[in-house]
Amino acid sequence: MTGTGALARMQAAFASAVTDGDEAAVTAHLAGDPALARRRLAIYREAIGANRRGALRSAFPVVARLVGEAFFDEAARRLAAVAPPACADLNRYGDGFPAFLSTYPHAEAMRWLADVARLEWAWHEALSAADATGIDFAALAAVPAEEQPALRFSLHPSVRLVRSAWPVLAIWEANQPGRDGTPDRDEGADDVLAWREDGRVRMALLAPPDAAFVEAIGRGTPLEVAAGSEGWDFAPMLVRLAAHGLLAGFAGPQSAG
Amino acid sequence: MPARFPPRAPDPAKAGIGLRTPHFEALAARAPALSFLEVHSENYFAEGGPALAWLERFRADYAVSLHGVGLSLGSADPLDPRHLDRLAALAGRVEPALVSEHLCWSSIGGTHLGELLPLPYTEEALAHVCRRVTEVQERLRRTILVENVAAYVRFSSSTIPEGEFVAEVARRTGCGVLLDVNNAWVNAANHGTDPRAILDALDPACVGEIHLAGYEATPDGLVDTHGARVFPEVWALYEEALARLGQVPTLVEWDNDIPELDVLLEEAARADAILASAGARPRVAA
Amino acid sequence: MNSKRALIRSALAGVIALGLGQAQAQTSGAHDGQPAGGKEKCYGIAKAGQNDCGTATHACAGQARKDNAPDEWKYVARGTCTKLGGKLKPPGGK
Repeated sequence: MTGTGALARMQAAFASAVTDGDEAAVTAHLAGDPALARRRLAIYREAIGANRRGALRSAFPVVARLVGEAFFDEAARRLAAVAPPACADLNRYGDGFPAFLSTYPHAEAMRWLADVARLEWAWHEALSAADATGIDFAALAAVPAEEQPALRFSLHPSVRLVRSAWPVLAIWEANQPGRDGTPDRDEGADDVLAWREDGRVRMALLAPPDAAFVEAIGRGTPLEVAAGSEGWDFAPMLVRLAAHGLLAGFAGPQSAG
Repeated sequence: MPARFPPRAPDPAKAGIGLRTPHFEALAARAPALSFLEVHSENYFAEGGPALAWLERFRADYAVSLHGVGLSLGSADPLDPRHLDRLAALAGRVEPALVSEHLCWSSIGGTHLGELLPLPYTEEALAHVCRRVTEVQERLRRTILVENVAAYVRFSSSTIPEGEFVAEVARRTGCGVLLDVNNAWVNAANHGTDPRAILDALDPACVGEIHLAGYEATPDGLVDTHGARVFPEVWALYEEALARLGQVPTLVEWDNDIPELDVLLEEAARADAILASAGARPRVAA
Repeated sequence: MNSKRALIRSALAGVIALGLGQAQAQTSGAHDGQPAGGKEKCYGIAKAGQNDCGTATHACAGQARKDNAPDEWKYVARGTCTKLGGKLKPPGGK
């Protein structure tokens, strides 16, 4: 899709120089003293790296604090080498960082790190997700009893569920400003619900059946199916979602399909 | 679509400031008189959440300018339709008085570099940029302003002086110009050219906004950091620009090491004083 | 199944009661989110946007970094992970 003219060739050469450090091709395009031009290219190279690192640091402050600056910056550099931003908005850069960390050899001893990153990305996404007006309770009240089991709810766009085998919420909390990094718990597994309420992101630990329920209704599963097995009451979780404005809408059986 | 906000336009006799997150609370509490507030469009591309809520809150009281940093008008890649959609949606939402972008490129081969990279000033680049400015204006159904960027390198293929390149984009597309006086100074210092050349080249009627900011002097040249007060020589060049252009809505930009709101207000007040001594314009750009 | 349907009915009744209670509280102005005394409504806490048009120079002082063989020792995590690294139980508690 990239053009084939002189402009496209120059831009491809320039991009190589400021990301990979391969200045061979761009040199011919630059005017003025070659040594000075190379030092000026370095201004761009450093700024591009700093912008990418800064975007990741802003989205993943806990990971940054956990691993320290040198480790974080090197991971950021390597992420950009394999998966540079594919969108102009740097606020969206970092969605691939949790997966990158899950296979990053230097993070092998920190097997929980990728899940902490997933939690931070959930927080980050929840902050800027679409707004939604709450559910129409009067309309819900008017649904006939026989149609209730087939109801499918939609959740507030900010709702994210992170299910981890590790105590990720405890790690996250221990690394907030004012805490020294020592978690209150050293065992998981944590199922964490993240959402935005009154312009702030909140997080809460869910019991596993509650997490499974939220996951199911988030997929549009009919209430009767999402309700799961006998012997566990989903009602408190459903009411809790409603109380925080996280039920955004519902559809009855007539609109199924 | 019915308007959601009162129509507001920048006061050409007064300066505005860049709206940045650390100043939200202070600005809301103090509500200083400002010509307008400018934001980087991409920072409000979210679908919802507090940043947008704040922007809409400020839009009720101020004229707003959307200043894009990511459209990559000069890239050989096609314009990103998602980006254009988000910009159009944001413009529909906040009803800005001004929409601007940079005469630069920032992406190639689908990779975004997140910097305002300089263009070679060639006939090919000129025709390319003009097509894209037209595409953007048709999509947004309004004219935009295009800004001269700071450039740390120059290209051997360039055949057109920068000022003439910028002026020609405006002439061919009907867009306006956002004249960044600091960038004009930085480029002249870095490349040994005349900072007034761009003033000579531009049709005064097409200049719709002026930017002021601070640079950083490094051993390799001046860098447009937006991290300092406006330098004396840039204030002087600004006075010269206003002497030729008349009063133009002016913005004080600050992006790195953002200081207290008062520092920006002091810089804006200084611009106000210079604007007050400049004459009103014979006619104002669209 | 009947007990499940009853459960669903009572759960929805709980949701609806909550919703109608919230609506009532709003019309009576009990918790409408508008602080008294003309103070600013809370718009939430916005993170600083990552897009700007100033060139970052804080890293410019040194020479451009070369992609030589990395010094592996540098990439040992040194942050607060030292406060939990050895203590966390692996998944499954085995």
